[in-house]
Amino acid sequence: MRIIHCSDLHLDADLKSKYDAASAAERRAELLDTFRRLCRYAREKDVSAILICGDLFDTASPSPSAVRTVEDLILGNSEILFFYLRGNHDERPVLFRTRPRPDNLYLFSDDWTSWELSDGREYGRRVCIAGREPSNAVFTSPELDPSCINIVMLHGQVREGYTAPDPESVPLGALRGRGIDYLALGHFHHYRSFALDERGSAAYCGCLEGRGFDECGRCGFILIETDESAHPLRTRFVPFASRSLYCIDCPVTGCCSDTEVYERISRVLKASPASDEDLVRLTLTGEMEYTCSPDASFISKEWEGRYHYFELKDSTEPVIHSEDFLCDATLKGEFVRVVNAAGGLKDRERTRILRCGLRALLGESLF
Amino acid sequence: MRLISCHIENFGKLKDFTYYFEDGLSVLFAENGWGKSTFAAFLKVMFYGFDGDNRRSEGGSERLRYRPWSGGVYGGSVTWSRGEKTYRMLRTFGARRKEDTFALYDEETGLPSGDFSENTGEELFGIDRDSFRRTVFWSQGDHDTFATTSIQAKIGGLPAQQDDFPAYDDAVKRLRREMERLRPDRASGLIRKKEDRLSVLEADESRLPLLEKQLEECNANEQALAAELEGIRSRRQRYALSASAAPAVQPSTDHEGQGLLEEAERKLAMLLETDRSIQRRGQKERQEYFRVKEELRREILDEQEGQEKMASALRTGAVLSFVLAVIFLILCLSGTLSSSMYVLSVLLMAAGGSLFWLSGKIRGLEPESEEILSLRGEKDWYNNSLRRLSRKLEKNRKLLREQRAVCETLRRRLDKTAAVQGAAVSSEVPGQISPEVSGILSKYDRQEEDCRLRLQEVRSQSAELGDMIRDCRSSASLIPGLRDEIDTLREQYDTCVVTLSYLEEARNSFTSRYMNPFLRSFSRYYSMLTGESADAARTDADFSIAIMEEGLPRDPSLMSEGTRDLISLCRRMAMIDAMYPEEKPFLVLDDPFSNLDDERVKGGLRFLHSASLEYQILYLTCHKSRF
Repeated sequence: MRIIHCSDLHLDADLKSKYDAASAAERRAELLDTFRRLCRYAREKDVSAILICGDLFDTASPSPSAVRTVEDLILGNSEILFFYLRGNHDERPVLFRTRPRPDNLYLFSDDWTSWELSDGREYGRRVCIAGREPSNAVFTSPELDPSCINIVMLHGQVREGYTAPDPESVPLGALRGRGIDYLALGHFHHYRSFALDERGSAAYCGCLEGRGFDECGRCGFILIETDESAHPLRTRFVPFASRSLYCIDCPVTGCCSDTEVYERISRVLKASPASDEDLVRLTLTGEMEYTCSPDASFISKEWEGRYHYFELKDSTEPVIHSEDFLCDATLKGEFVRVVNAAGGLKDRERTRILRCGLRALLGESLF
Repeated sequence: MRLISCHIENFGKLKDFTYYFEDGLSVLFAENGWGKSTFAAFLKVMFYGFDGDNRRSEGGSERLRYRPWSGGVYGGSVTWSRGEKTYRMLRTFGARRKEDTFALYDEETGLPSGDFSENTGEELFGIDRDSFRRTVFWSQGDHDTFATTSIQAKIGGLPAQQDDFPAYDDAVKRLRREMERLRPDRASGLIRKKEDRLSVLEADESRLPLLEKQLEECNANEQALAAELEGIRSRRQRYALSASAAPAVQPSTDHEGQGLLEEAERKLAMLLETDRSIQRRGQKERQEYFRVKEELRREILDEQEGQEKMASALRTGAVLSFVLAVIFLILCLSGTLSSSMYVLSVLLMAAGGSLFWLSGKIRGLEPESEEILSLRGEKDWYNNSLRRLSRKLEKNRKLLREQRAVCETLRRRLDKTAAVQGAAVSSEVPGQISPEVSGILSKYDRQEEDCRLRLQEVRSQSAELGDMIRDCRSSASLIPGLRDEIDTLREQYDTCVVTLSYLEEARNSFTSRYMNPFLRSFSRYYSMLTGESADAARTDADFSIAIMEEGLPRDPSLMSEGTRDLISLCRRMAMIDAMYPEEKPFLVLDDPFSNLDDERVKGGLRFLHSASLEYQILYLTCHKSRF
């Protein structure tokens, strides 16, 4: 039996704070399309169930069209069972409010709910799915039959021990030694797996598709496989995102012109795993002479066309060698001496003023 | 550094020519065509090489121009001293630079010296060739001067090339322009605009809890209606079963009525959609209205503040006038001042009164800048638009009520037909649907339809609230980014303000350190040459000179050629003074007074004798009057 563990799809996310309006709309459509591809994958690979561990939607009030699409996908894949546990983003039930809920959709509540996914005739042991949605109520331990293969779905940040009631916390103390074979977690947007106890393991599958540059790297789902072998479960991470996001630092210390910066970026990007279909945020780091200020819009032009999305951030620190101006007879020298002699300025502020003034005197852009 | 002698083997028309320089003023008087300028050029070439050697075309090259007419060795030697040491420099020139030879000997020992290289000029004078031509070397036909980078560096005591001299005025202009663009205290400033936008987004965000509460209520209502609908349906089913009637009502044969009902329901749906669309638009325009209103309020406050400041200044003036009037009055009464001063006292009183009146008038003025008028216009437009929308909504709601009534009437008509038919069927087929059963079933159907419509309305309301919540969430998601942006812009604005103040301070300090001594030197030479004071001369950070005339600076390039030459010579001398505070260089002046009138030539000669006390000067001229 194959089961997909996914979470944090954040469908219908606004994304306007991350991209311009057109790119946001495109990315929004891509997120929805990835869910469609996931369903297709499940069908083709003969997957029995898809576990959605929270944050299927980005908001409690997703657009009717997004809801409708998800509903249609669930209806159109009746051979797959969808176990949908809401997270902290999609706290309100939105699916199938205006039409009958299909039999292949299983929902959870803020109390432990469990289903038998397989009666054991095929695999020898019963496979049970249990879950509990985030709630302010005290976190209780699930009551599971140790003879079953128990998969537990939760959404929240794992914490050691028993924590105070917090809807976004998953206290591991309450879950250890309870017969859990696999703890399917959602909320954390990067893949991470760890041992739960002697019997079971736990994993965050991460988001299915990165939305912003805080969700870089490989994104996908976890494929769970059960058979009659000694260890009941096998899991593996399946990268599935249509595009990956990369935050790449490019040290440009020593570069003095846009051309040099450009060449440095070329080398860094060539060595990076980012492909043409990916979204890239490149940050210029290091120190640059005050006379050099990379023209981000000019430099970006080349890669804007090469990658699906390219963003250039300048985080370089300006370098001003004040000692070079000690005997400088020009107004520049005088300005540096006056600013350096001024009291009450913090180093960063002083550097900022020096850079701004010197660039103004050179006729360059001020910032 | 001093020139001692030179010998020309062949250079232009000069051949086997030797010259011994005086310690102070050396005058070479010769008629036109003798080769004075060639001699001057020889000295320059010996120290700095040929002009135009790097050009592709040799058409303009000095190397070609001075190639000996009669053949022979192209070059010569110069003996000069620096400090305690004396050197003899020999150069020969080929067709190309790489064919040139250079040798330097210590005159004392006669041994080759490595103290200077082929770039003797730059090493000796500390300036490049162009700067040499703008200061120490006055050639005919190139009298202009300006402060090159090399000159700037030399004045500051720097040995190497420096960056371009700062364009202070341009820098200040750009900083001011940037500050104006960013200004947080004006509605037109970018920071203020961003803050206004932030206010709108924050207002959206603050609406979220209320909207979410409304959506909760809506959802609860929806659930209740869904349960009610389910209840009606199951009650009807139970009743139908218990009455052994058919589960469904007999279909109506009133086709016209059914068509009308469908049409009426379609119209009703359209009206409901219009209602929602008006509400959505109203919501957006209301937000805009409040934004513009807030902007207008701030703008008016800004303007009133300005008016208040002006009125306050006028009131202070008025009080001062009154006080002075009273003092004059007391002095007149006590006999200290003559009685005619009463008039002055009265005039001051009148002036004070006028200022008070004016201050009151200004305070009473309605703020009406272009920005305010525009914002008022915008506010009125939104106000009128909101009114129009309100009227439209009212009208639409009236139509909605009417359309609901039409639908209701049609449904009753269809129910009635169904009841009559049911009764007919019942009477014809005993044991099927009695009129009583049919009536009750119709009642259930009406209840179901009513509940369904209400549910539909609640769902559309819920969808609308969902849209609004999404919009508000979208606004809220933009807030952190916008706040960061505002912080960055504020930091930039503050940096501009502080930078500007430090630049001004640097400018003042720079002026007193370099420009004032320069101006003093300039004045000294100007007086020496013209016998007049140079009080009207002004300089700037570029060491350029402007002469003030009727309060306005006059560019010397607009003056007569003679005056331009005078100013250029004084400027060169002032720069040389600043460049060489200790060991003075020699000066080569190739007929610098050729454009001067007789009176000014006398001044020029005075200048030569005075300056030669400090500098070694080679003065070349072709006219007795200038010697």
